[in-house]
Amino acid sequence: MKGLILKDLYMMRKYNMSFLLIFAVFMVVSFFGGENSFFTVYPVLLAGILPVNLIAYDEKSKWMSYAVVFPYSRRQIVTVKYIITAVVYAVILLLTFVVQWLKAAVYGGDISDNVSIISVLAPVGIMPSAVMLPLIFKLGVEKGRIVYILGICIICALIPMFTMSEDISIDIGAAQLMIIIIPILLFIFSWFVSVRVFEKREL
Amino acid sequence: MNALEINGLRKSYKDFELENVSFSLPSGCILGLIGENGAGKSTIIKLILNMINRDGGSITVLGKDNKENFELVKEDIGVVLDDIGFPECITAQQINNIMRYTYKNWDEKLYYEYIRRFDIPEKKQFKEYSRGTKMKLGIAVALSHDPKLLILDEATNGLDPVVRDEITDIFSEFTRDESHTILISSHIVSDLEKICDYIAFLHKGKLMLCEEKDRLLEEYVLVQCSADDFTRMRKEGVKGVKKSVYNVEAVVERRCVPAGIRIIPVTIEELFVFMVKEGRAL
Repeated sequence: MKGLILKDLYMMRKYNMSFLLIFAVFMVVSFFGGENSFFTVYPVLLAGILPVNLIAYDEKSKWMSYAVVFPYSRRQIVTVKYIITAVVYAVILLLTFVVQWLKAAVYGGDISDNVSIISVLAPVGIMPSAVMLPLIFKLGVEKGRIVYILGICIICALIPMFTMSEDISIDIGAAQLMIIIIPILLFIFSWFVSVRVFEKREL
Repeated sequence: MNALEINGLRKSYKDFELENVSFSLPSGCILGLIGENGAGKSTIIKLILNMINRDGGSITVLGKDNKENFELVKEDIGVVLDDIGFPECITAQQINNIMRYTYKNWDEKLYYEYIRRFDIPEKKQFKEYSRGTKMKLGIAVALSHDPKLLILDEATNGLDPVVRDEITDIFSEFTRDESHTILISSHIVSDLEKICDYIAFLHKGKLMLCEEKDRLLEEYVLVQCSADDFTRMRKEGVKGVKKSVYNVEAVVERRCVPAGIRIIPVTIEELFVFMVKEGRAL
């Protein structure tokens, strides 16, 4: 799998420099940008675009068909994309925390609000990738993106139908734990589905 | 031992069907899969490589079923597809680095020998290469990990005649080792005629024949004669006919040609064209 990872790293260096630049600018702005949490949180949410972008370039060059002639299983081809996704998230999350700590060290003040927002949004931020990747491995990038957007629209349209009773009391600690655990479980489930889907796909 | 064995292979699409294809390729030989565009050559190669799922039949590659642990078998296979699908931004140097981590037997020295022999710029991006250079790079990659079986799908397309000649020489060199085998598909019959030991004709998803090339060239002849002389020919031996107002041209089994009629050695290309037009299997 090392060869596949190296290939993706070469591609990231070439195609995703503009994204990395955007992340860097956002982090610098979040460092100097006072209490505005948008610049702190946005890079974490944006991270899911990078791996999808790589798959789009793979499709353009017909790499997905060509890759299977090398001694790799389809499971390995899928797994590499999940590893790249997880690593990109982890690195951006880590950098975001580092920037927040530096900010606190330089300016003093309380960063706990920003840190707790990131703690919640980071796992949630991985959910779009978890949902989109199986669709992309099944249908290709273009159709996968369309189905994903349609799905999001349908979910947004259905949400108002479910109103929460005011009598229900929520354990905040348990809810925070669920917010972290559910996306991670979803990401693992997504990998499993993508492998199954890609193993059956005709290339 | 057979490097490749295909039995009763079937695959159906909406507008195309590969019907019950069976043939085998002995180790140390080159088999040319000849067919017009859309005849099913790429479908067979994709089925061998597990890129698509078969509807029926079996495929054994280097003694192993291609549905079981095929990743291990692929260590011993070199493949060149019609579309070399390396990412557009990758250079020949980077491909070497990627392949070093891909194949256990990757031979960096040999790879760079081919790169120099084929005049491939090492630092240019893949998208900047011509189609011919992309093909040559694909061939260099396919040959640089000590493969036992080469599978080449239209690998000489887009190459100029000089390079095609050089590459067919490389393929001939490759099979000097008796454990090395090549399956090559093309619609450029002259290339295959030069290097192949076995010839398989494919037409509209059906295998019309699979035979030793020398036997085909020995058994069949081209006949040019008058319409009257043609009526004396034993019709079961006629594999294809072209009639004009001046004469009749036909590919016929040598034993079915009566004495006194002029015969000309047939080429594989003529045999293929006559047979496809006639739509008959041997």
